Amino acid sequence: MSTWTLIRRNLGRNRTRTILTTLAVAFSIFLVCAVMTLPSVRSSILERISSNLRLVVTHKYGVAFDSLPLAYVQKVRAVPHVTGVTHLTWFGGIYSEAKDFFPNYAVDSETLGEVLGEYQFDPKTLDQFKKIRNGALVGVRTMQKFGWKIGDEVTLRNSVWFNVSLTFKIIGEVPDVNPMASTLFFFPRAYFEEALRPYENLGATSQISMMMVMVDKLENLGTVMSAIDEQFRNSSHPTLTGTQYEFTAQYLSSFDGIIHVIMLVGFLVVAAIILIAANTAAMSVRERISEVAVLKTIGFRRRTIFSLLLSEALLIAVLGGLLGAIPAYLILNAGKSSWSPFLGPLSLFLMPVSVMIQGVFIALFVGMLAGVIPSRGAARLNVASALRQIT
Amino acid sequence: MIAINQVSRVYRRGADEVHALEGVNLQIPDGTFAALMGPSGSGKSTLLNLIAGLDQPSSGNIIVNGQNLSGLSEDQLAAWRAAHVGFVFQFYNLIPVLSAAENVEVPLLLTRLSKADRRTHVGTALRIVGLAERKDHRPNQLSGGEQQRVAIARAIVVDPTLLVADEPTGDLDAKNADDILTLLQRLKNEFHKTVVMVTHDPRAERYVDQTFHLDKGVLVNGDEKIKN
Repeated sequence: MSTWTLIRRNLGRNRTRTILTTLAVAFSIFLVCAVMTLPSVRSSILERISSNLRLVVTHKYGVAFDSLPLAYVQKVRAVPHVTGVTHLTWFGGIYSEAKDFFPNYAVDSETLGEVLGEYQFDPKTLDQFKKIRNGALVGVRTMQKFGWKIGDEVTLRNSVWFNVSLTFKIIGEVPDVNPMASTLFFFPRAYFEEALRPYENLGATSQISMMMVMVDKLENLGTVMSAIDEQFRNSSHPTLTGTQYEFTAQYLSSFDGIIHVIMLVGFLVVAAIILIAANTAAMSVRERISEVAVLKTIGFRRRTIFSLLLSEALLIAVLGGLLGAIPAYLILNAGKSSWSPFLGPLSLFLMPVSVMIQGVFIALFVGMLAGVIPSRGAARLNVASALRQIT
Repeated sequence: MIAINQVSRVYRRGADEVHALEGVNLQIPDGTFAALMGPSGSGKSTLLNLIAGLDQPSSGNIIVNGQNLSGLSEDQLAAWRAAHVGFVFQFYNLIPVLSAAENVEVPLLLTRLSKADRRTHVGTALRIVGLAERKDHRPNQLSGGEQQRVAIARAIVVDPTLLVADEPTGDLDAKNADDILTLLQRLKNEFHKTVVMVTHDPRAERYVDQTFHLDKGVLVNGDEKIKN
């Protein structure tokens, strides 16, 4: 027999209570891990989708505010140190329901592969993309979500462009280089312009949403950015040029408020669980005052009794922490696996190992906070007074 | 030798003071079986707790086998108790989630004995109380008398010089009570323990060597009755 035996047996004294408390800790740690993954999702997206040498050019007041003239493309190509320019135009079509939305763009099929070099499009696929009028390149995640295959025809309805609907033939995939890329839908600009010919006099076919610009060297980024914006500063469509990192960070910052609220809710849940666990620990100690008195009578010192009782609380907490953190890691990393189409938005959450470890430490902290007061109280019990209660 | 010299114990209950013991003087020689008797509230358990090192007197001193207990810190008293005192309670107070052998082993967790040595000590203690064959039973599988014998085994497993028992037969029927008193007497005779017992049981007078009567915190028979 050892003190470890004593701890284990005491936890088994009221199994229902031990199991329920452990599960409460496990569920709260699962939630906390999911919540703590949110900031790391942001960082992960920024790291993975940003190319240091690529700039994004939009309307000065934002993509949503206004578009840019197609004519700007040639002018930007002529800026010194620019090695490539491509353009994208937001189509905004819907496949099935609005909630199943995915980003879809009309793109310059001639320059797409050159400017998005890290995507490593298959050369034969790119060739076909340039030739097939209504060909579409679709991200892996979107393909899996709707069960599409290469060769399928899909229609995107009710676009933001006069509710125009277009039918495409899927001819290839957008390589799965980052979480954003795997959701994209690209089709040739020419097909877009053909569909919007009836609205040509409204300027529909001469506009783009943004340009992506490749620069020859890092040290020329600032120069190119200034040159582009200066060129159009006094025009009817002034531009704002930034690195792709800045562009994406600005887009993601619109979610910061809700992320903070979600994180606050998560930590309030942890606080509630601390109170529940503390109450459980206190009940457990109260029920065993006579045993604590006996142990003290035998000669167990305050610190030994404190350690025994606190160990019980910590063990429940750590067990609950592992039961919560490990499944959270497995589920929130399933974005990498074939489970991802069934997880919907969760598939973008890729929980790092560090968050799992932090989750277990938070559980340990919960156990410490919950157990320290009742354990200390029991350890400081006056033996003679306690014996009067039990004899 | 247990020497109690002018010992008083006062408890404070808010603004009131309770004089649990007043100016008690007594001596208990080594190897004696002594009983502390008296009505409820007479201070018997208070005196027992002081002898066992569970409490400190408000005045006076207590010397047990040369060790002056007065003024020792809580940790020092705990260490002294672990090595020198075995305690037997009225309601046994065994740990319900441990077997009989594991309950007996609990005091040995405070020693540096190896697992094998602990097992040997436990076996010896259980044989002395006649319960070796029930070592794997949990307390709820034992009768009241058996549980008290396990408690006595727990009290003697560290081979203490002093055994204190607070109403050890209080929750037992007549037959079991006699068995327990016989066992305590045997521990005194064969193993030379000093046994100090608080009891209301009139049967106890047949087994003990000394009887001390207390009333309202005062020793009423100042000269102990010593059996030859």
